[in-house]
Amino acid sequence: MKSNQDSIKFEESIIRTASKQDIENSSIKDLKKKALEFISSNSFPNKKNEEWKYYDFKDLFSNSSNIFSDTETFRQEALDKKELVMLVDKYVFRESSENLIVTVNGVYREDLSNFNNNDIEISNLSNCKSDQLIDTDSSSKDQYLRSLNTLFIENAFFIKVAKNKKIDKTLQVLHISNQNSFNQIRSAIEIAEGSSLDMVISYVGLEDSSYISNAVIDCHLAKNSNLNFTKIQNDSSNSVTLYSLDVKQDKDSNFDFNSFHFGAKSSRDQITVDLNGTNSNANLNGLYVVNQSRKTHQIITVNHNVERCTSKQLFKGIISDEARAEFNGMIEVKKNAKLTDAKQLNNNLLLSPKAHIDSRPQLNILTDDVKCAHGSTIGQLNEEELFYLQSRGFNKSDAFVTLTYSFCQEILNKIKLDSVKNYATNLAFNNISTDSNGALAKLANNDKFKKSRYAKNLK
Amino acid sequence: MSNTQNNLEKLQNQKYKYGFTSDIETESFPKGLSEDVIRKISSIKNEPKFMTDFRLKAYKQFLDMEAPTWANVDFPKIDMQEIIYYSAPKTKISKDSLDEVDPEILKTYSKLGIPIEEQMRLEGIAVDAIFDSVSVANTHKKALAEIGIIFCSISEAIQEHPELVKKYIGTVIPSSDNYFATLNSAVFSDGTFVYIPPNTKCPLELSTNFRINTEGSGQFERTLIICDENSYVSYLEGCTAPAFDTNQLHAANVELIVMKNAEIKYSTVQNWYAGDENGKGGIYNFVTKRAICQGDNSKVSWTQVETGSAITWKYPSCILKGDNSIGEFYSVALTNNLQQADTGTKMIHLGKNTKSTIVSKGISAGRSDNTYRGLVKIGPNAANARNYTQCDSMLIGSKCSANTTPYIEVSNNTANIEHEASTSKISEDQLFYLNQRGISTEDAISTIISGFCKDVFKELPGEFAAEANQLMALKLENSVG
Repeated sequence: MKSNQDSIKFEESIIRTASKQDIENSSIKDLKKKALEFISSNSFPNKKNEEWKYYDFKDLFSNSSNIFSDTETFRQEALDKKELVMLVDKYVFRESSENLIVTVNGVYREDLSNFNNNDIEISNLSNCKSDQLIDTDSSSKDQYLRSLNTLFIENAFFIKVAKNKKIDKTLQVLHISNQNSFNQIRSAIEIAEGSSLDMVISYVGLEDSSYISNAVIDCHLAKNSNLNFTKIQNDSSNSVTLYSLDVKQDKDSNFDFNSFHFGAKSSRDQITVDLNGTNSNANLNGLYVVNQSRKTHQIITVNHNVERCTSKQLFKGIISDEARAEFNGMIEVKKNAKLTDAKQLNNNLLLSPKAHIDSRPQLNILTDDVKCAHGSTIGQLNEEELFYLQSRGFNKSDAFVTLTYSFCQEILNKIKLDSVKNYATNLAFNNISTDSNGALAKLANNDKFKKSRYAKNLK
Repeated sequence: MSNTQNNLEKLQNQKYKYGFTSDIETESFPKGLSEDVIRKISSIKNEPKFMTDFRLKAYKQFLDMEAPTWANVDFPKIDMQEIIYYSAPKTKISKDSLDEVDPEILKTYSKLGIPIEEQMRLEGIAVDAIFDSVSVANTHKKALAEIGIIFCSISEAIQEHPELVKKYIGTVIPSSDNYFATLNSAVFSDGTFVYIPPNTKCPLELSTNFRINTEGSGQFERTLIICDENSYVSYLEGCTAPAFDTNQLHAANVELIVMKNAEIKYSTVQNWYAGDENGKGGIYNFVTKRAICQGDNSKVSWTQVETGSAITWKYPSCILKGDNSIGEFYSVALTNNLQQADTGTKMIHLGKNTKSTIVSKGISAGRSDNTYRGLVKIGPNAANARNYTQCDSMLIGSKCSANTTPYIEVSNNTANIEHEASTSKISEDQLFYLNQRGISTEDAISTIISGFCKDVFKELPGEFAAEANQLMALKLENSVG
């Protein structure tokens, strides 16, 4: 039971590090104490937990043992400000340079943020209202990660959009990670009645830094509000990321979520949407393009708690080299949620012999007057389509890239801003094209393909 | 809709047709499980040493195991010491002639619609009837033996063909497989054994009927079917039990072994007593069924119609080891009142060019829970594997639930997997349309249900399909409102 020992070691180092913290002087000392109590009496999730069944804990534990090995330098000196400003310049989207929030290694940095909008109120950990730091929901599936976040949190930001305001400029949140540390990202987003907000959240990490980031984000959409939330994860190839997003929606609200995964050694998203008001709608879209030995896990739950709500999930994945991906989607239709309309679809392209996918589209339906459908497909590029393009003058790798791009275009097109779309498209291409020739060569060697009448035309 | 409501109530109040008990003297062990009980079962059956060892090994493993809790079913912990592990009709039965079978037993079977004498004459189906724990009658044996087919109870096979039993038993379901399968390996009392020699197409549909009669007894039967190269067999299984207020455990193991170019078609119509409308009594149907496609181009097809049992918990699986082998699973699971069903399949693709098809139809009515749980696993060497899964649920009434929990694990990039599922209800528009054309609401419901289940029923052999259709109509009467 080696993994069990690793888990115990991990828990011990958390408690040891926590005890060195100056909890008494924190503005949220009560919450921190409660979190410590929770962590001391509970254990880190393990494979017996259905939501962690396919998770490979090895990456997490190996990064953590590096981080915790010298607890004195748990938080090293960050990059100096000049270097950070250069990084921010590199990753900020043109349209959002005036609406920018920056965190460095999980800590909210007001000095690097550039924000000027009277309709949005931004507060930090020391001046936020205590109820903004939602931490009491013990029913939450990710309570351990939440408590861990609360325990080590240094600074966080809270966004509140005033009533009946349509924010026309896209707000960008840039998370930079540049050192081997355990980063706790925390934020809460409140959209008041009748308002709407577009957000782009990008995660970037300096290559070769092997951090763990543990993000906890809560969103509340009040009556008739609208939130467009785009997440682009391009963390360092040595990092391990854990991400918990909880969304609560009131009557007539609309939530659009687009999530993109390109980086990190191992990334895990747990997204839970509660449709608590009638006529609310959630659209969740995702694209994961993973290569090398990356792992990505998408655990999505949509709870239809009341009647007449709609939800859609569309997640696509391109998996090459030795990468592994998991899609675990759940639609829960509660007892009184009549006239629910829920859809869920997961499409995957496996491009290499050692690529692996675990797909679990699930439905839990407790009432009869509903429309629910789900589907999942796993396959590879169509030989006939590849041949068609080649017969029209595309070379092998161009045909390959064109088809792969068209596969992910459906999700990429959901991004509103062109600069963001280009950024995401480039990242997707980087992750596909490294193996394009290899994958094609393998396709050409495929027994079935060799027998097909197209094979001779390919030479 | 009040008319419908009435019809529905009528249907729901339909009594379980097979709920009678037969007054037959039986010889039962006292309740309880111990090494002694297992040795006693083994010695009564005069088993060779390898069987006794097999049972004892399983029993030792069982002692270290805990009952699994992951399924979406809810029941009090079963006390394994409160079960009678062996119960047999007292009259000594000679299997060669029906004249010596206790007339009460024969009467029971004719009540169930299986007059064994008739079956003797009726061309096409050979029946093995299992009463409580032992096999009581077996028809057509002689005719089958002439072409080399062995069709007998497993106890008989242990006596007469120990080499075959020894070679294959426990190879598909190892004795330590899971809690209930391990228990079965330790205490199984009887069951069916079929061996189809190479190059033989079994001319008859083979069939087994299971009946639990004694209150408080558990039924642990074991079926082993081996289909050798280039052969074919179709096998049917039917189940009934009397209505008792207590829950009874049925933990069976079914192992199928399919050689090169061979095919087994296994059909089940399960109608165990489901308990009354308040969920009192009924059978716990915890069954482990698994097939292995050992050779190239082999095929296994599972068809099941699950309408009975208080709790159904079974996953007929296929291990597709041979290249080009095919696995199929067609299932209709119907739950009403407080019934619970957690059923599905596992398709494990190991060989090249293997194909599997899963069609699952779940119908939940009343306050029942119906879950489809299935695994499709493509191993790294299973090039060009293909799977198509369709699982549809129909909900009748707002108090029941329908869940779909598929697991798809793919480690080979040449695999093609499709999974789709939908959930619907019988709409008023559909009912109105049929009513408008002069079809009564009740008939309209059965028409819609039979349309919904058509994909599965068409896989059932002849008269079973008709029977299944009737069974569905019977079970669902009065459940649409």
